[in-house]
Order: sequence, then C-alpha cells, then structure tokens
Amino acid sequence: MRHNFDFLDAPLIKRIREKGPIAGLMETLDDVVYRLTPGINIKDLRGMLRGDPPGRPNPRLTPHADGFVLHIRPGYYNESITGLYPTFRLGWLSTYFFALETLTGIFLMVFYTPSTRYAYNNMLNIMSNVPFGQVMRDLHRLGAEAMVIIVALHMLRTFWTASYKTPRGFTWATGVLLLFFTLGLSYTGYLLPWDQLAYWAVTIGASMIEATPPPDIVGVFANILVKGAPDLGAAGLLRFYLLHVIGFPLLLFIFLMVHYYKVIIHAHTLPPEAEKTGTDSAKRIPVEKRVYYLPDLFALDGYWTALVTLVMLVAVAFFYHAGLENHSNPLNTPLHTVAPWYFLWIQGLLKLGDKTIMGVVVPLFILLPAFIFMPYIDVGPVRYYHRRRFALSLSMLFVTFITITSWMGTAKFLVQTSLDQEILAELAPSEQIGVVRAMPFEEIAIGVYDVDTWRQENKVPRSSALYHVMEEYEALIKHARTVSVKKGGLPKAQALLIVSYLQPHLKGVTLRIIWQDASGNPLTTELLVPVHENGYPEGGE
Amino acid sequence: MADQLPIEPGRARPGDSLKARIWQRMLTIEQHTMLATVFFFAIVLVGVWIGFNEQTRMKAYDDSFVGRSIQRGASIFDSSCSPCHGKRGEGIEGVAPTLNKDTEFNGARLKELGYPGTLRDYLTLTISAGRPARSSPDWPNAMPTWGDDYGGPLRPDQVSDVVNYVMNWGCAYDYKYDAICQGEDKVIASLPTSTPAPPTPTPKPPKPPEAILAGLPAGDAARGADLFSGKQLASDGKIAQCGNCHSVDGSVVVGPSMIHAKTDMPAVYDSFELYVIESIVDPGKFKVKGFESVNMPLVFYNRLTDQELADLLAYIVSVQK
Repeated sequence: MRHNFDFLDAPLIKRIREKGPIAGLMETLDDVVYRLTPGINIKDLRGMLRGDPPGRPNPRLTPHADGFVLHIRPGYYNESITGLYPTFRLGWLSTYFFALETLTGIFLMVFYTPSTRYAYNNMLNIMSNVPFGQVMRDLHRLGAEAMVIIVALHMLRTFWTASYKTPRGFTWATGVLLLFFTLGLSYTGYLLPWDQLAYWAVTIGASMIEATPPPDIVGVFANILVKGAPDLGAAGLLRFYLLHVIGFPLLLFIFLMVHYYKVIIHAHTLPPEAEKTGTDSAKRIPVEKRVYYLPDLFALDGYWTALVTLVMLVAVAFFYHAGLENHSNPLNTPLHTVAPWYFLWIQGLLKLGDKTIMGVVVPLFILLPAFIFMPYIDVGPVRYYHRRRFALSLSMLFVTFITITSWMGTAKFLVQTSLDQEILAELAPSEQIGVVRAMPFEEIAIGVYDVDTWRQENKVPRSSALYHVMEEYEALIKHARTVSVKKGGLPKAQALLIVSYLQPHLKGVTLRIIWQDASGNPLTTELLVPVHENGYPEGGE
Repeated sequence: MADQLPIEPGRARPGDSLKARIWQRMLTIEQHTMLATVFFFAIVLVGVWIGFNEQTRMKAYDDSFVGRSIQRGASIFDSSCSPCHGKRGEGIEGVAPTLNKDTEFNGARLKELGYPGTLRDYLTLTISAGRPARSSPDWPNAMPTWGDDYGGPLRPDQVSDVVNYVMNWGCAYDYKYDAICQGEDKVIASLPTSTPAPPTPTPKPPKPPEAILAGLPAGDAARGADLFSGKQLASDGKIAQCGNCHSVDGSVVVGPSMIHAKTDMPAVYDSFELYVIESIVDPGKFKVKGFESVNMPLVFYNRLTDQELADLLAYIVSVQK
C-alpha cells in the first residue's frame, strides 16, 4: 500500500535510485544551481567562469528574464559604453552609495533614539562604547557627502552627453527627483546627532520653510508641519528622523526602480559622437557589439564594489572622522553658523535678496521645475558636443553660479560681527577646537602674556605651541587696531592671554581684550577657555 | 565617428593603447575578478586592523570626552557657580561653602550628612535639585535648583559636566574614584599654592546700629553705586554682591528691590538711614513682607569698612522713589 506522501518520491532519492548515487547527487545539485541562479546550470556556470563563449540561445540571459534581482539590469550592453567613458560609472556609484547608506544606517539605527534627551548620548555611546561604531558612523557620513557629489556629477554627465534627449526625458525627470531626495536624506540626517553643528545648520535651512509663499498662510503651516513646533525641538527631531529612515528612503527606492526600469526600456545612450543625429541606435545593439551582463559586467560591478568599499574603508580608517560638537543648545548660536555645504549656495543667494524669493521661490519653484521639465523644453535632437555650444556653456555658467553663491554662503563673505568677538572665535571657537584648545597641555605655561610685551619678556620658547598662539593673537590684535570703531575695529586695544591653574589636569586660558568704544569708554571682552590634559589627545582630532 | 572595435567585445586586447584601455575598454573578466579578490582581502585586512584598535580607540574617546566634559563644566562653573562658591570653589564666607577641600572627596562630608550613595550621585542630586532646606545657619542662602528636571536651566549632560568638574578637584588628594583621575602617577599630594586660601575676615567688634550710623563718614553715592553693582570691588578684594540679590529698578531678583526700601520700612523706625544700616548689620531683625523665607547673609558688616557702608547708604538713599 502506498501512502499519500512517500519519501521515496523525493527527487533526490528518486534520482539516486534510478541513476546511482553520484549521478543522482550531481543531477540534483545541478537542479538546485539552476533554480537559485536562476536559469544557469552548472555547465553554463563553469563555462562562464572559464570565459567560454555562451551557447545559443544564450542561457546567461535567463536570470534577467526569470530572476528577481537581475530583472532590473539589461541583459547586455553596447561595448562602446562599457569603458570608463562616457558613464564614468556615476549612476552605478549612486546606487552603491545608497546601498552603503542603507546598510550602515541600519547599523546606526540600532543604537539611536530620536529623542532630544537621548540622541546626543546615543552618539557618544556609538563613539565610545560600540565596537565599529565610529567606523560605521564615519562611513555613513562620508558616504552621504560622497553620494550628494556623485549624484550631482551623474546629472551633470547626463547633461553633457545629452543623454536626457528623446526618448529619455522621463528618466531624466526621475533622476532630478532622485537628486532632490538625496539632498533631503542628507539634510534630514544632518540633524540627528543633535549637536550644535546639526542643530544650527538645520535651523538655518529649516527657516526657509517659514518663507514659503505666502508666508503668513502656507509658510506658518508648513513650518509647523515639518518641525512640529515653531522651533526645532523634540517633535522636529522625531519628524526629521522619520523622514530620514522611512520617508525619503522609500521615495528614493521607488523612483530608483523606475529610473532603472527606464534604462532597460530605452537602453544606455551611446557616446554622443557614436550616433547620427536623430537616430537612437542604443536599443538595437548588433550582436558583435554586445557585452553580456553575465559574466563581464557582473565582474565589473564586483570589481567596482570592492574598489570603492576599500577606498571608503581606508578613508575612514586613516583620514576621515565625522565630527561631533557639543550638545545642541537652542539658546547659544555659535558664531559663523552655516548650512551644510550643499546648501551653501542657497545661503549665498539669501544675501542677495528676499528670503521668500531667494530661499524658496528660486530653488523650489524655479530651479527644480526647470530641471525636471528641461528635456521637454530642449527638444533639439543634436547630441554632438561641438553643436551644443550654448547648452554646454549654460551648464558651465550654472556650475560657476553655484560655486560663487556657495562661496558667498560661507562666513568669509560679509562678516558683520565686531572684531573682539571675531578674534575670540578665531582663537577659541565655541564649537570647533581652535588653536588655544589644541595646544599641548604641558606647553601652556602659567603666566600673563601681553601681546605688546611678550616678545621682550622672552618667556615663551620659540618651539612651543603657545608661541604660535601668541603670534596669531598679536597679528589679529594689530590688525584690529587699524580698523575704525564704526567698522567693528578695536583702536588702542590692549590684549592679554592669562594662563592660570584651575584644577589638577586643568588650566584656564583667559583671553582678555580691553578696548575703547566711540566715546572713549573702556570696554572689556573676556573669554575663559578651560583646557584639560586629555581634552584633545591628538592635538585636535 | 563610431569606433569600429573588434569582436571580443569590450575586453582589452594586446595592442590597445593605454588610453583606449582606461577610457573605452574594460579590463578582461579575469583581471576584474583578480583585482576584486585583492581588494576584498585588503578590505578584510583593514577591517581586522580597525577591529584590533577598537578597544584602545574607545578608551581614548572616553578619556578625551571626560576631559572635554571637565572643560565645559569649568565654563559653566565660571559663569553660574563661582559668584557664590568662589572662582576656585574656595567658597565665600556667609554665601556658599567651600567645594575643593579634602573632606568633600574622602567621604567625610558624605558621612557627616549621612548620605548613603556615591559622591557622584550626591553632587548630581545637589546640583540638579538644589538644596531647599539649609543644612546649617552658616549658609543662609538656599542652593538653587540647576537641573531642568527640577525647573533649573541646565540639561542633564551639563549637570554631569559640572559634576565632573567638581570631582576633578578631588584629583589633588590621595583619594581616587571613577574615571576622572588619570591614574596614580598623576595624583598630586595637595592643592598647589596658586589656589587662594579661603578668606578669613577679622571680626569687627559688635556695635549697636545707632552707634555705627553715628560713626559713619560722609558717603559718596557714586562709589556706593559701583560697590552695589560689583563694578568696584570691596576692600577685601571681592565683589560686595548687593546687586546679585537686590535690584534698583523695582524687579525682584532674590531680595526686595531697593527702590521701595523706604516704603517697606516698618513704622518702628523713625530714621530711614538707621533702618538701612540695621538691615545690613542684622538682616534677620525685620523682614519685608513677601520675603520672609529669604535670608540675607550676615557677613557684610564684617566685610565692609565704615567708608564703604557710608557710600552704600548714600547710594540706597539716592535711589528711593
């Protein structure tokens, strides 16, 4: 009598019974490989690794048709785009960084709480108590900055090679959105460490929301919607966190898949010089020009993954560390607060005009739509570089514009603080380390040093860090004396640097500037900078 | 214009120029795979190297963090604590006690108070929640609350910075606790001489207020104003501290504002000057309505010279509305 289920019916057993143990096992293994790859059996796999030509019909195309992972990649490419030029791998690199950000981000999420009470302590814990915590954080931060650059370069490249032209207008439009989401991700992530840098950089940017026209109706509402309160606080942090870990990644993922699918539909554009005007020959790749994804481009992807991962890892192991400033303090704005670098151009624009127009209308209502709809405006079919002089000049002009407005966004442009505050912030900035705190503890000799007499007194050895600090202090004061009071200068300023003993392992460096206001009244600006022996073990790292 | 490339698509061939290899062609699949393998092992190597250094790195980050915490604590102490506890935690007679003496750190103070927890807990609690009940009549002012949990201005991490700073005084003594002190070799035996000794004012002979008033020289209201606000130091080299508690614009800081002093004067006095002098010499004798729970320090008569008393008196008389 046979049961409904009989283990003798299992394919493995059946094959072994019919063909013997070795052949039965091998046939089952072949079956497993065929199902997993999917569509490539052991023989094909071996041929692929040996560099044999594919059989006909090419079994290496099956994973693109039947598999989930590869259905989003084309089965073969035109060989003229497999070199570094014309893609520079920028599209692939963008996706790589998205993946890197996701993986490191998940690691960091485990140790992070989006609460004003705990966020900063979580950061300290990640830095000092989680093995590989600093590496993951550095990778995440460096990857985020790299991703912004790479995505922007990808867009620039697409413009330069005119790859956005018919029929790829929609691909371009999704690409612009992907850049927007990348900036959104980077920006919302900026706030999460909840240190002074995060708080004030994001506060500057988020103040744009209030200016959304009309500010009295939409601006007020949008501000409350994004921040959860008039100012950034617990509700704002939670909302930024949710946008960072769910909102933007989800949008980005969806549009990334659309973007990828459009590449399959339309294929990669050929280099501009390789095509006759008005033809789109990308889709019909002659057989002799095909480079199949499996195995050539798969190996290429693996190579680039390994290379970029190695570069990133070496960078964070030896060269780059994401900073962490003091706990955010809504009551204390550090001097020279600036937006994240990729939004400096907006900060620069703000110095040119009205907040609503320069901060919101120009970037969001003019530039963003202009970029999205650009392929539907520039409908000329020409792709040759030498016949697109206007378009290419325009793009260079735009790059120049962004560079100049970014420079205008930095604190170097139009500084308005009085020089006593500038000098103190230069020597001992409230958030960064600065030259005073970076002095090695032993080299800060207790005493009083006057910028006018310290050289005569000859107390400071030339080799000590204090000597260099005094030199800088002296230069700053001498410059400030030449500026008039109206321009924030300090005529007749006296300046002292006083080093005193505060506690074991702790010295206090007092910077005292005594100067006169316009009517000759003496004023004193003073800053106590405590310096601990262990504060900055590597002289400022 | 299209490059007519040979079959064997996309792979580098012998005879390709370097430019063509880098710019237009791929390496061979073997070269890619080989390089990827090398990179992979390099990644593992760097990863292992990072892993080996993690313990040291995390310890160094901790130490450096404590150092910077002490620095921040010193800044907060300088602005918020030193007006009462002194610039170096040496305390101010009649205002707030010494914080840097050995009994704070060797357990004697905790034992005296019967506090069962650690010194860190004790400091955190006292700074966060303040000391609403006065522990001895020597210190008439209540310690205010500082932690934002208790309505004060400091976040928990700032309280912890101040605690680290206060505990760092303990490193001067032969008493070791948590991570603040950096190992035995760096512990020094006693506070260096540059720390000023606690003040020891010589007590003046007690006199009735009438006699004091009678003996005062002529006062200068302008100098009195500087003394009052702290612009000019008192003769003992410290701020007289009147302006820390009393305003001259009608607002309430801690004690009553000076501009209503004459209106607040009880009927038993017939001379306003006598009332002012008696309030400085014996502050508890009469308390203004609404300020019954506030105790003015007893030390001012001892600290101020007759001339200074006269200047202050002249100033207080001049601000009356």
